[in-house]
Amino acid sequence: MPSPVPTSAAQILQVLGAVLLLTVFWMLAARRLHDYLTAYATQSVTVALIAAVVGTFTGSVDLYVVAVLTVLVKAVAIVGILHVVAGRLPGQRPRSVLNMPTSLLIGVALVILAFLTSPAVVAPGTFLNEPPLAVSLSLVLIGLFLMSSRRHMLSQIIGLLTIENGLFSGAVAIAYGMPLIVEFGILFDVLVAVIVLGLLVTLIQRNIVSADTAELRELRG
Amino acid sequence: MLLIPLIFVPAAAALLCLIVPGRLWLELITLGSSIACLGLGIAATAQVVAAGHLEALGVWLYADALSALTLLIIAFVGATAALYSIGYLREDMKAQDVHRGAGLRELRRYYALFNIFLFSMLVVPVSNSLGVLWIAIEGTTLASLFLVSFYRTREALEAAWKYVIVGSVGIALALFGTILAYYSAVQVLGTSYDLTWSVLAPVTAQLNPSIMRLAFLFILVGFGTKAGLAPMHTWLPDAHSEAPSPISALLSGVLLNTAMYSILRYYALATPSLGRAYPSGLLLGFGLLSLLIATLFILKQRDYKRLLAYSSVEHMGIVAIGIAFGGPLGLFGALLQMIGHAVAKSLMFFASGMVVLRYETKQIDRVAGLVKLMPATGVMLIIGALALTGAPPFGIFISELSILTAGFRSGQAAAALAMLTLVAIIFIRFLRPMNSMLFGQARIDLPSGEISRTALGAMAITLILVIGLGLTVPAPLSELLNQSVAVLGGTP
Repeated sequence: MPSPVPTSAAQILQVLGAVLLLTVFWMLAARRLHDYLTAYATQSVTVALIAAVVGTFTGSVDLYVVAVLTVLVKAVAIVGILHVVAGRLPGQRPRSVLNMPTSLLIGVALVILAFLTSPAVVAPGTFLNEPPLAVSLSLVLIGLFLMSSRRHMLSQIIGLLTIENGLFSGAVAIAYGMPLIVEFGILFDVLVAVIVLGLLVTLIQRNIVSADTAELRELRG
Repeated sequence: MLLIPLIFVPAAAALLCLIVPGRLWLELITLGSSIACLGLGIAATAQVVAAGHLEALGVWLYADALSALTLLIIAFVGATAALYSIGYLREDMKAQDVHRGAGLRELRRYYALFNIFLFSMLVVPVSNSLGVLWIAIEGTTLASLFLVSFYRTREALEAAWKYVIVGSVGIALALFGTILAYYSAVQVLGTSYDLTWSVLAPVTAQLNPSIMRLAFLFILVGFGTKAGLAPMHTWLPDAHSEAPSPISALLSGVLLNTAMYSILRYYALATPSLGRAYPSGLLLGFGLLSLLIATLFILKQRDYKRLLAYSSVEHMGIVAIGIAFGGPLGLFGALLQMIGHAVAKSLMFFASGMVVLRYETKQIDRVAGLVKLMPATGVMLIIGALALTGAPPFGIFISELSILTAGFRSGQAAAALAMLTLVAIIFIRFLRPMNSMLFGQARIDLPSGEISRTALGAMAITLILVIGLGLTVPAPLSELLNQSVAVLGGTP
């Protein structure tokens, strides 16, 4: 059984959870690619801090390693790669199918949904912590929403990465992390995925001259 | 010890493809490695059948009957697709200079990615760790992405984007399922344990059922996305139809099965603690929906590669229904369906690749007189179509009959009848376009004759298996199937 969370750590985790929620609303309000990337970097550093805090009170050295790697891979490498890709797409603003206030309202609704449903999916007698689960679920839902409402490829990638961050923070907060080698594998995988996606965006950009997925409407039925 | 080379051979082949000087080398290395994998896979299967299971590389590799079955499917279609690729690409790229510059680079990329794709799929069934399994499934998407976009047309790039985005969301959900599965055993095994099948197997009955319930849901939706189950199948018709035909065969015949294998693994993990009702209900729902959606899209389909793609959605749906009906008969049928679909569908994609090369269109109504122009390809296409739609005496007829029988016997007559109706509709609507493509008057400007002997060879080998599986399920295969059914808890 995981050890109970000390009060001070629980308070820090709550603050970090709130920061995570702020970063997704930052994304929802973003008008430039640059904002998405900064929000994602902040979010990733916050996830790393969560891992470090959980590592402190469980005495798990593994989680410190995970925290450091998370910052290096996500906040530095991935954000760096996406900046390079964004640099190859001059003058293309990320468009949304919805205006900003509507986006934010839907975001709020999704967070409420996450907080309402997360106790329901956890049966009594189990020891999932409700608030961390609800925050993780919010990230997943808003990530999905970003992917479906944003037409720019980089915004969709950020949506995907937000989902991943939600799951990652969930794994740390709920199960106190996965075996270290699996965490390594996941981080490596995310990095490779971003490189590959970046290559694909560049390829599409070169062939279709736009990174707007509204241009990708040929295949139906 | 067979499992280690099985994985490292294609990885080494991929690296070699980056450095060797010419086309012949690329072809020989890829063909050699995939045939070696097939040999190793058969040998490993023999050992698994004899010994129950194999382990290698410490805790990392593990193979039981279910793994061996999946391994055989991957290795067989992998080897035939490698052989077919040689003939297909030689014809496809004959206008380009493939001995230097851009042409060679393109070819090099194709064969290197082909081997990486094969490698990532082979890791899935032999991985002992649930985490590594997840990483390998994600790896299959990344490896096959640039094979799907190989032609770099607008459509191919769109298909690749959809594929990677939909696939990645699915994979992310499966990650959550994996985390929950890990968490479900924390009460039994403590907070840090090796997340492997062999560690979990003895304690499956003690896992936390309410967490397992959630875990299975996420796994089914997540890996179901990659298995092409509706309504998460949206990437599949695009990717299958836009990819070069040998890759379509691998995507449809193998990739879907590796994802299905993962679902089966979790099914075996979840049922002892959770009971059969909940997972079976979910599988039945997704299975019937897949069958229904496949039928609707097959009814109005005008593109023959998309027709084949929707038929994959149909067959994965039937496999899910077979597992849901359960019992030895239902599970046996589901596994046999996986094999039957893999061989028949790869034959169909191989044959359709030849049609694309000759007619330069994927539209059904622009292809006619195939039997006259390319008799061997035409005959194989019609045999493949009959096998695929479940006509007797082919393997899929036997597996669908087993699944239906299991359904009626387990008192799920309504579901079984629904399946029967939809399969019958597909049977009729699938053969009609084949008929119009095979017969009639061919355009006079098209040359007649087969395109590639190498490709025909790959098709002939597949054809032997398609016909063979219908005549008899050989004793060793039958033993393997029965053992796999036992892994899934199907023996009373």
